[in-house]
Amino acid sequence: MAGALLTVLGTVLPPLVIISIVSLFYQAFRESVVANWALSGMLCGVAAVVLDVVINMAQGVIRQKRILPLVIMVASFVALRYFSVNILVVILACALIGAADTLRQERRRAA
Amino acid sequence: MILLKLFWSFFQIGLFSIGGGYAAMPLIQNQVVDIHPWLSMAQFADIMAIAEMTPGPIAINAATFVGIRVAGLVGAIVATLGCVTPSCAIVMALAFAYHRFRGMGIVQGILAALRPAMIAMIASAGLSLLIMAVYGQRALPGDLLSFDGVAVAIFLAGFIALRRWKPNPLYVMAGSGVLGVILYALL
Repeated sequence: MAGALLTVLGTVLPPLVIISIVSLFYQAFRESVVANWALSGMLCGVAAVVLDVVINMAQGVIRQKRILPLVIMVASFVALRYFSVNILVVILACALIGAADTLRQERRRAA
Repeated sequence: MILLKLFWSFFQIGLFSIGGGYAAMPLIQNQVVDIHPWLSMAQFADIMAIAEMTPGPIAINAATFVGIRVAGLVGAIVATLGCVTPSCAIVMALAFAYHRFRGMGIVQGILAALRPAMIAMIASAGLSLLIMAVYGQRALPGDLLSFDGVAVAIFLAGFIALRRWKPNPLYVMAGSGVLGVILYALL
């Protein structure tokens, strides 16, 4: 238990300290022209990194060749992006679908 | 009261960021930009760029940044606590119940269904970041051609490099920062 808590502390403390320092300088940083250019560039970089990750993950889902995960992926995206459905509603709905699908498969296997 | 709100917001982020890493991003955006007026979309985009460049999980970085802005150092600690509490509780419960747990099949079924939903959420948050980078505002403008050419070029350079050579994302971040300084200074 003590080990678990210490590990958590070890994971949490470095970012806590670093970001505290960053946020001290954030305002000044945002007012510096050069830092703004760098941050604007890095924003493009982070968008590229995230979309790259998304493509890799989506390829994993497509490779499963199952219809349900594909439908969940597309439907969640449309619901979030174009119908502003609450993110927690989407998560709970998908959890229910996953549970129902497992039960259905288990029942079929038992029969 | 504000501390309680901070804790509860980041508790939800910690609870629902299933799959780790980028899964927290859309939830953070939802909590600190949409539900609470703690960050503007531009500030959220900044902190995502900063979080990508600094060590530690994105959610912890965001918790610290938001917490400090909203309620000082105490806020940062409370938000971080909120963020790690759910996973600590869940993992410990699982560790204790591991041998007796019989509903594992259902848990796996739920996680299998959540994975594609998480991908969709990350995709949506990633698109929001891209729109922010390219148009400097949250929603797509009426005039789609009013984009920032430099931003589009840096994005494409990073994206193509990632797809082709799979470099460490840190290099892409550093490179796009340097490109930003050079290109904006020149143009």
